[in-house]
Amino acid sequence: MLALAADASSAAAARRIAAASNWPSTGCDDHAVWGLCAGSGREPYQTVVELDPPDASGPAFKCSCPSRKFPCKHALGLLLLWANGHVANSVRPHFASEWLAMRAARVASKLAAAGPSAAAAAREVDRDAGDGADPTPPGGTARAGRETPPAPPRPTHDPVRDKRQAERLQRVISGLNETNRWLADCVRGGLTATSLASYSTWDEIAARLVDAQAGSLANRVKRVAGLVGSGPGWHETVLGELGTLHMLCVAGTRLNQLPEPLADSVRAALGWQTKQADVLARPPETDTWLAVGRSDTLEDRIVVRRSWLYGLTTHRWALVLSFAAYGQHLDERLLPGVRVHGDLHRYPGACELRVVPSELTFEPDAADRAPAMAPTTSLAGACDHIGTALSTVPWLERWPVFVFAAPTLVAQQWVLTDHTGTLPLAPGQSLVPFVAASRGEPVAVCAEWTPTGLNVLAAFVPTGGGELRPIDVGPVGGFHEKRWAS
Amino acid sequence: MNIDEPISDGAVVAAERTVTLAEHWDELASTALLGTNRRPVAPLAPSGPLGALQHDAAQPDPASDVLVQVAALNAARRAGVRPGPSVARLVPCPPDPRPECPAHVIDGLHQLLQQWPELIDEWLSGVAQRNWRLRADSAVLLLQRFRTDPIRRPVIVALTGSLADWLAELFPNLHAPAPRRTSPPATAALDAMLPLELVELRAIDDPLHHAVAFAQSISKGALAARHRGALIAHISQLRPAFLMPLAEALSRAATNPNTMGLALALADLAAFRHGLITQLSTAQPPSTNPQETNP
Repeated sequence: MLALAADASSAAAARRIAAASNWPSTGCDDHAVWGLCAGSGREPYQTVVELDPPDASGPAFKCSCPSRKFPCKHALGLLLLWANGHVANSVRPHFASEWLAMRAARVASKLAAAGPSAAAAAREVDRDAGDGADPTPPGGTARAGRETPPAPPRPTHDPVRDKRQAERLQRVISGLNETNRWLADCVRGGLTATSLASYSTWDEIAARLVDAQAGSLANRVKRVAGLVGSGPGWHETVLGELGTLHMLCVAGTRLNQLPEPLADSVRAALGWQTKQADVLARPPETDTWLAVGRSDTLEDRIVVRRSWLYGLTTHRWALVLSFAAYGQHLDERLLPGVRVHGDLHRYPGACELRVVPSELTFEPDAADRAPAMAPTTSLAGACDHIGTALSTVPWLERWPVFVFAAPTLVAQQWVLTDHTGTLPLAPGQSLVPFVAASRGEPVAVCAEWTPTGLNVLAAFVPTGGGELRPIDVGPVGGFHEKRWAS
Repeated sequence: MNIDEPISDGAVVAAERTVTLAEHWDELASTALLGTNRRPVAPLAPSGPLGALQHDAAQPDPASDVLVQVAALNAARRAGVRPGPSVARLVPCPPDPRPECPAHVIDGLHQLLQQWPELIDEWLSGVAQRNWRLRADSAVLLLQRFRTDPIRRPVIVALTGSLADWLAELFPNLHAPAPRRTSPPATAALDAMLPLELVELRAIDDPLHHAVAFAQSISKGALAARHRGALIAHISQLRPAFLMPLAEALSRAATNPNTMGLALALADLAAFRHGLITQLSTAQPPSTNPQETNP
C-alpha cells in the first residue's frame, strides 16, 4: 500500500498519521473511505479515497490539504487506517459523496466514449468493489437490521477482478514469505536477542504485513511483542506463537491446496475481510440466542467487544464483534443474560464462530428476567470441545466454554475445579469479581479458553427464586468505564 | 493427547531415544532460546503423526526445521489440553442473610460513579438504611476504588459484609493500607470563602424561590465556574423537594452562552440526585438467597 507513496518521507509520514487519534471522524462503504484529519490548519482536512474506481485505474485520492505530493500523507494514512480495520461503515458525508459523484460522472463519460462493452465491464467492477478486500470493518456486524441487502452473485469470470485478485495474492504471498524468513532468523539468532526485546522490531515486520494487506496477522505479530520477557517461561509462550505464525505464513502461500473452509479460515486469520453482503447472503441460523459472555480488549487504540451467544436450540456458539474508537460507544445490547431471537449469518471458515446478525428481536425486558440457561459441561467436556476446535483450526486464540465449576487456589495459581479436574484461570481484571460472585461455590461460568488460561467473562449465580442471574465480569479494555450488566 | 505420553520408536524416522512430547518441547525451547547458531538441533524425531509430519516437512535449514517442529508440537500441545488433577475447594464465604441490593440500584451506582461521584455518600447511606448488602461485583468495584479512603472504606466493608473479609484473605491487595493521619476538614474556613450569593441561597426555605434565585445568580455570573465545587456541595445537600424546581429553573435559564454549560451541568446534577433518591426509596428488596441463608 505504501508503494503508492510519492517518496519515502510520504510513506513514513503516512505511517505516523495512520492512528485513530488523528482522525476525529472516519467512515467507509464498499467503494470509498473518507475522514477528517486534524492538521495544522484551523479546519480539519477532508480526505477521500475511492478504493476501486470503475475504470480500474487503482485507488483515487482527494484531500483538502495544501500538499503538492500525490497522494498526500493524509490519503495514505487514511488508507492504512482502513486496511488495519479501524474505519467503520457509515453514511457518506457531503464532501465525500460530492467528489465521488463528480468522479463517477467523469469516468462514465470516458468509458462511454470508449464503447459499450467497456462501460458494462465498469459497472460490473463498480458493483463488486473491494473484491476480497472488504472495507466493512468487523464492527459493522453489531448493526443488525441496518445492513445492506446481499449483493447479487458474482460473475464467474471477470478478467479485471481476476487480475486484481492475482496481484493482491502476490502481494500477500510476498509479505508472508518475508515474514517467514524473519521468523527463521529469530530462531537462528535466539529468542534472547536484544532486538526482540524492542517493540520497533516487531512493529517493523507488522508494518510489512500491513503493506501486504495481511492486517490481522500484523496485529498478531504485535501481540507477540508484548509477550517477550513478560514472566517466567515467556520464551515458551513466544516460541509457540512463532510456530503458529510460521504455520499461518505457510498456509497462506498454499491456499489453493487447502480445503475451502480451511482456506477461508486462513484468509480470515491473515486479514482478508469477507464482504458483509456475502456473509448475509449465506443461509441464516435461526434460533433463540442467549448472550452468555462479553469481553473488551484494546487493540491499537480501538476497543474490540466480543459478545458470545449460545443457540438454545442449535447448541452452537456465535460471536458478534463490535468496535469503538475513542469517544465512541460500544454496543451495549448483547450483555450477558440478554436473550434475542432471530437470524445469524456465519462467516465462511472451518469452526467459524463470527456472525453477522440480521432481524434480531430482543426479548422485552430480557435484562430484568432470569434467562433460560445454556447447558454447562464439565471441565473435561470443555477440554474435548476446545481440542476439537484447535485440531481443526490450530491458530485459534480463544474458544468459548460454559462450565459448572468453582474457583480455587493451587500453589498461588487460580484455577477452576470440578469433579473432572482443574483448568488454570488467566490472570486479569475478571478474577476478583468472579471469585467474589462465586463466594467459593461452584457456579455456571462462561469463559474464553486462551493459551494462557481461561478468561472468565460471566458467572451465573443463584437467586432467591431458584433461578440464575448473570454477573458480567468480562474484562474492559482501554478508555471505557466498566458497566456491569444487571 | 497426553503431553507426558511416551513416544514409541517410529518406523518413519528413527529417533535416538524415546522421548515424551514434553521432553521434545523442552529441547526445542532450549534450542530456540539460544538460537540454532549456538545450539544445534538435537536429533530427536518423534514417531507417530508428529514424526511423519516432521519427516515430510523437513527443512535443510536448522532454524526453519525448528519452526516446523514447533508449529506442529505447539498445535498438538494446545489441542491436547486436559484438566489437571482435582484439588480441594476453597472454604466458602460465610452466608450473609441480608437481601442483596436490587439490580437497578446497582445500575444507578455505575451512572453515579461516571457522572456525579460526589453523590456516592448519599448512595451508600441509602443502601445502608435499607439494610441491603452489596452485590459481589459492585462490592469489588467499590472496595478497589475507595481502598485508600479512610471514611468511605469502612462503610463499604460493612455493606459488603462477610464477603469483604473473605476476599481480603484471598486477595491481599484488597486490604486497606495503613491509616494516614488526616486533619478534620476546615469547614468554617471553607464557609468563609463561599460567595455571598450562595450563603444567601442557603437561607431560603421555599423551593421555588430558591430555584429562581439560584438560576438568576448563575445567569448574572455572580455564581460561576470558579464556584463549581461549592455549588455541587450545595446541591448535594439540598432537601429533595428543592431538586426538581432547581433543575427546571436552571434548564430554563441556560440561554446565555457564557453560563449555559454550568447551568446545564448543575441542572443535570439536581435531576440526577432527585432520580437517585427516588430510586433508593422505591426499590423493592429481592428475596434472600437460599444458598446463602441455608448453606
